[in-house]
Amino acid sequence: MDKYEPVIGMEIHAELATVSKMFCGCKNDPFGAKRPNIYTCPVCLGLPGALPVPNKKAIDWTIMLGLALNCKIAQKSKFDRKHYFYPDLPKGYQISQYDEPLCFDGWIETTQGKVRITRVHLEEDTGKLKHAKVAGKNKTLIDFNRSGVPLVEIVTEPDIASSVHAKEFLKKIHNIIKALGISTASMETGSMRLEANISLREIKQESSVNKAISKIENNPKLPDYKIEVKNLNSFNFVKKAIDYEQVRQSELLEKGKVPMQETRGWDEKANKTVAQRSKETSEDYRYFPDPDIPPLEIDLAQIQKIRLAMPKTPDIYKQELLKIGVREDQAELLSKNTKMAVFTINAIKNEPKLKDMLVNKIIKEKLTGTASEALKLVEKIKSDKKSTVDSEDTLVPIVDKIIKQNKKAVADYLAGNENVVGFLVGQVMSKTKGKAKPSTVIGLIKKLVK
Amino acid sequence: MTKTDLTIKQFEHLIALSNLKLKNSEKESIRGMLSEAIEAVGVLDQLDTNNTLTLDHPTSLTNINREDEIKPSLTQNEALSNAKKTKGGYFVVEAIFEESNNA
Repeated sequence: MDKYEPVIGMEIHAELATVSKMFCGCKNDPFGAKRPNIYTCPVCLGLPGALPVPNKKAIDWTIMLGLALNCKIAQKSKFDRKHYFYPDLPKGYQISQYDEPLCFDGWIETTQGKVRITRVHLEEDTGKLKHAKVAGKNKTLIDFNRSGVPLVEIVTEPDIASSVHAKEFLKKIHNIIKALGISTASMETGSMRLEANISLREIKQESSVNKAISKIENNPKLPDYKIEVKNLNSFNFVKKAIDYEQVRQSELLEKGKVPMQETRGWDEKANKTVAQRSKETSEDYRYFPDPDIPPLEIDLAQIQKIRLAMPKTPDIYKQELLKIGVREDQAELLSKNTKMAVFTINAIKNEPKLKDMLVNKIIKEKLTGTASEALKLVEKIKSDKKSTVDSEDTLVPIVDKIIKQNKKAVADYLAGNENVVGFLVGQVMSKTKGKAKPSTVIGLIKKLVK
Repeated sequence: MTKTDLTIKQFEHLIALSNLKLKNSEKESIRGMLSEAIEAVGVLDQLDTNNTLTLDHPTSLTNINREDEIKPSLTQNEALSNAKKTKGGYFVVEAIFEESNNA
């Protein structure tokens, strides 16, 4: 048995797919921009005197995400300045949320229990840096098309117990964000980015009572260090990084050392995490409320409006599919692709009796479409079914006739030549214009020749 | 009023956070000036704020938002017009070595 168990929390960033940026009217399309620095203005370049004004849709979408993650929504919220110097941050601070996030205290269900969501807050993305040689010297190039793009951050409690669990959790979050339609949530373009906080805890040989208690108390004893791994741009890298850290940290702990609190990055080529330059000083962001942005007050009417406009999440689709009798595993599979889930529900509503056939076909062919297309699919299956000559009553006289007409073949078959069956089936199929089910026909032939 | 003396350690920390590069000759005098400034502001500590609500914002405004609409941006040339150095439409700054050094 392993001596240590991982304690993992995640931070997930997703760029919101609003048409304009978070605090200005510049186009929000950093990935589609054909040239650098074409979607900028005094606000997102951090020029003196520019005033940021929050994008209402970005706020509403963040609240929507919070609702989907079973969060409480703040009645009062505000934006704060988080200070640090880096060339991708033109103002010298990032507008973020510190002590009054829009959403907090949520959870989502996984196969291994609830993962608690600490908070969901809204901030602005930074510019993009590129490293290049200019006149033979190493330089950093900056493109501010991404500067000020709305970015939500989801932070979890350290409730994730393994790399496999982390992957399941992240896929679930990814599906929820996709279902809400608030972000492209693409790891490839960087519109979704992942960080894991990983540490190890010694597994104590506890009595079952103590175990139960510590479970109720949500394992209060957390390790006294935490390794943050950044740069995880796929679910598989998250899994690999956790597995790698588990080994690395347990080796250190075995030697009696506490792993150094630091930020590490995933090195895709070396297949390991590497220390990123550890900061000389502890992080000191000097947060304070942004005086340029008046606070937010969110009333119940606004929350209700968002709730009503909220697209269904995969979990809700799964419940609906289960309710109309779809098998658990199929409901799980379909709910991950909301378009397929909607199509399935529409199709089954038209003809509940064809449920199994519809579900199988939709899953197999990954079908999606409008309600009328769902109806068409039902009609097609119905007419196909009607045209299948499948009842034995219809088939028996035909098979009987074929047997009588092909005495030689029947004799060969009875003499042990199984191949002849194929020939007889072919005869029946041609009589029924291919509408008979071969398996039924074979069964009948074998029965009737005797 | 107590004199606030910024320790060298605190001072170095602030300078690092402020991304400033000071000559040794400047350090002592600036540390002294900063200590004096903090001391001057320290007068606020004499106020009794026990029954005062925390002020998040100087105005009484709330919910000043904008609709999600695109407004014209600066052209690339305009955006880069104050840059000390540019290349191919990018701002150019001294290299950030983090990635290359550790690889």
